[in-house]
Amino acid sequence: MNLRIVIGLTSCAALIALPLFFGGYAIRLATLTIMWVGLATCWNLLSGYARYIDFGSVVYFGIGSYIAFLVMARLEQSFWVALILAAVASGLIALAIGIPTLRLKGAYFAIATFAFAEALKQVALEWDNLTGMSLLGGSHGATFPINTSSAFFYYVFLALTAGILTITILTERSAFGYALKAIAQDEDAAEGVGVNTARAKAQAYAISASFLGMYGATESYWLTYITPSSVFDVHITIQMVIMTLLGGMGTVLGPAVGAAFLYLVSEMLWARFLYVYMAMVGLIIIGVILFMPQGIVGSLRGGFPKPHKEA
Amino acid sequence: MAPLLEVRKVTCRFGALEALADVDFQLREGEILGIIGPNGAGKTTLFNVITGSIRPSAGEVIFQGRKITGERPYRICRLGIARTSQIARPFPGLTVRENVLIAAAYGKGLSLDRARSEAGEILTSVGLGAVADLTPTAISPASRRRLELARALATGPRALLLDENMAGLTSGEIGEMLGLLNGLRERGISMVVVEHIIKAVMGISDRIIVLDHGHKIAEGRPHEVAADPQVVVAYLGRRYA
Amino acid sequence: MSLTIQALINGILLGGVYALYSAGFCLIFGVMGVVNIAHGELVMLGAFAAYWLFLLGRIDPLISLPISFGLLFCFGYILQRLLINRVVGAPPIMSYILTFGIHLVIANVALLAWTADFRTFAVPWAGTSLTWGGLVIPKARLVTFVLAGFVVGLLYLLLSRTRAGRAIRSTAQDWEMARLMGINVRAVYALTFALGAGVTGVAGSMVSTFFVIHPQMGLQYTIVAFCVAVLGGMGYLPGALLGGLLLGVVESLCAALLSPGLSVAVTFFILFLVLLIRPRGLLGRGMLE
Repeated sequence: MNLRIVIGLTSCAALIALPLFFGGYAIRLATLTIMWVGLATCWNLLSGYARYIDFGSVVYFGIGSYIAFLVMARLEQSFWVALILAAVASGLIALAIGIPTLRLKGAYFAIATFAFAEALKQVALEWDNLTGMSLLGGSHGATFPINTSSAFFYYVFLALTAGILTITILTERSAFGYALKAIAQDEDAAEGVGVNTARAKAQAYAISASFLGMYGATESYWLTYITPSSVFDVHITIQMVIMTLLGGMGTVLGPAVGAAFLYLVSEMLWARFLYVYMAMVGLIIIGVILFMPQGIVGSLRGGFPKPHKEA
Repeated sequence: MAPLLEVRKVTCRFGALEALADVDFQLREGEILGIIGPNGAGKTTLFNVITGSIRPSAGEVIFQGRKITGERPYRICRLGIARTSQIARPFPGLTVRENVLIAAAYGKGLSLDRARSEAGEILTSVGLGAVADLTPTAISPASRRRLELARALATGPRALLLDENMAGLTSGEIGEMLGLLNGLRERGISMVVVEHIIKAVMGISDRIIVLDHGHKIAEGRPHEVAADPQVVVAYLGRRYA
Repeated sequence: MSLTIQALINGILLGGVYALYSAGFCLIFGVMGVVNIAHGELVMLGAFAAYWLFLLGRIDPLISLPISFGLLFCFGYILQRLLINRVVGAPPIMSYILTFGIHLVIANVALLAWTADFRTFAVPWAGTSLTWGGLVIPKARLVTFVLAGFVVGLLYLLLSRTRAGRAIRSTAQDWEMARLMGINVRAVYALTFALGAGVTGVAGSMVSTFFVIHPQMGLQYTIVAFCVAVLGGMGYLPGALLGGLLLGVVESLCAALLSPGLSVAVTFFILFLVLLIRPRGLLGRGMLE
């Protein structure tokens, strides 16, 4: 049996057993770390492999949150129903939005996704005023039924993150993964050797959106109280981008390493020195871009090089 | 017999510029058709129209009896038309083998394992077996041209469009490339060859068409075309007159 | 009816503000292809320059405009030479992530230095308005509006009529060619970025006379500059005027006639649609990557 499998199985067992030995703050820290690892991994699937930089990923986190709220608080269904509906709704919306938007390249795609996320945040804020319903709660926020088991959320996040990591590993080993990498490097050439580029991009976008929807649903249920500004917060997207970049775009482990590193550093620093911390993050980003543009994992491994400039 | 590929009255305008004007031609099964013409004659545009990356302003392209104008490029590739580009454009971050593998997996619809072994065979057949696990940036320009050809072949084409595949090669390398192309013809692949190296294209083509400023000004067997006074003036003049 | 007319006037004036601080963004993108996410920080620095000059030196912001231009010009020049030059020509993501890092550093260093307090300062003339038949035109915004037209016009003339402008334009079209023709591309980029930063500093100074300023104000300005640039056509300088005016009018009318919160949503939906339908901007003069 090779070493990687042994390490993998051991760490899985350790992660599963963790709540049996620790509680309170340690579990909270572990849960959030696992969530951020998952979010960054979601972002990496399209943006890391195919290099379509999505600046609006948080929109699916927010959609998932509000779907969960509607299902659980308004329709009084179970969390599991909410989780499935959040995944389905996010995935379908991602297909509808992604198919036209993914025709845009570079900064245009980034700006369009950003614009869509901001627009939807405002719609969520204004929905009740506008329609005269009291459905989403607007800026007053929305409250979930309470679940006090911290182990419950730990396991849900663990399962989600295991899921998206598995999908990434399978992608890396499949023709689909090659298609995404080819799109990153030369989209026209990829199309020219038979890759249905529009479909590959939309698939990656929709898969990552469904997971983001589930993360949103789960985190909101955990926090029990959400507002449009909290679940559609552009800083959530920015964190995913930076974590992935820091760890290495288009690698399986990069986003996980970047997310765990940045989240733990921030946990140590930012409660006490928020501005110093943010300025430091800025310096780290500048340093990474200038000195190791392939990220931590990419630089260690030699990753795959930057796509060349289009001719 | 119906031609394999037929271009009917294709016109292509970019603003005021008419890159192609009413161009027709046919490619028969098993044939090598040469296209020559000065720079800016519209040769590359013609390839872009056939492979679907540019939509023509008018006219249509028929492949195996079916209209393919307006189809997306990947569909046209899967139907059996592959091309090489004037400037070799391998995926720089994938190995030589992976470059070919992706073409076999998507263009030909093979499973990943079969695509991998297919890629190995094709690379051996074009003489790149030894460098299969290097990245394209690590191999010579002549080898990159072969990689471009290998990648096109891996999609399993019936018709192969070669855009200046020999530019920049030494005469020895040109000889080897011509040998490769003759081998492909024997395997039943029809080809359209755009080339600046007149001697090479004259030698290998069954027929030649001449483009000038987007117009087809001559068509025929190589020696007939070479003797056409209009062609001599438009293109060969400087060299042959 | 007069409400609508007033909203229209407000929108046009707001549009002038938008155009003024977006012009530098358009210039930088047009020449270097760099989407500068730290753009709003340049606005913020310009605003604080005017603020401190007024507070410490009692210099009227209108008088201190050349000073903020000069300060930001130098700052932009150094920023470009030290950092941004290294990502010009690299994949676009590198430029926006690098400038995002710069955004974080500037905004948070400013927070450390100046605290998160919201600041305003009262320049006597800037608080007054012209009134005419019940319609109100705040003087400070009118000045900003005129300045927007002036700055865009001046930049346009500079690009089309001067030697430096020709160098900038030919570099924008094809930097490799420009280099072969003996143009010092790095110097051109540094000059462009410095110019863009300078006019953005001017915009910031004007903004400080009628908006609240604070170290974290930057991001929202960057976002508006994005919108303006997309509507007008990315990199097409006169488009900044059109994009700014359009955005200002739409926002102001939406806020007056529908609801203030919705005006932001409408803005972003328009932006999203324009990107999908006319990615080269409303006039179709912008560039594509």
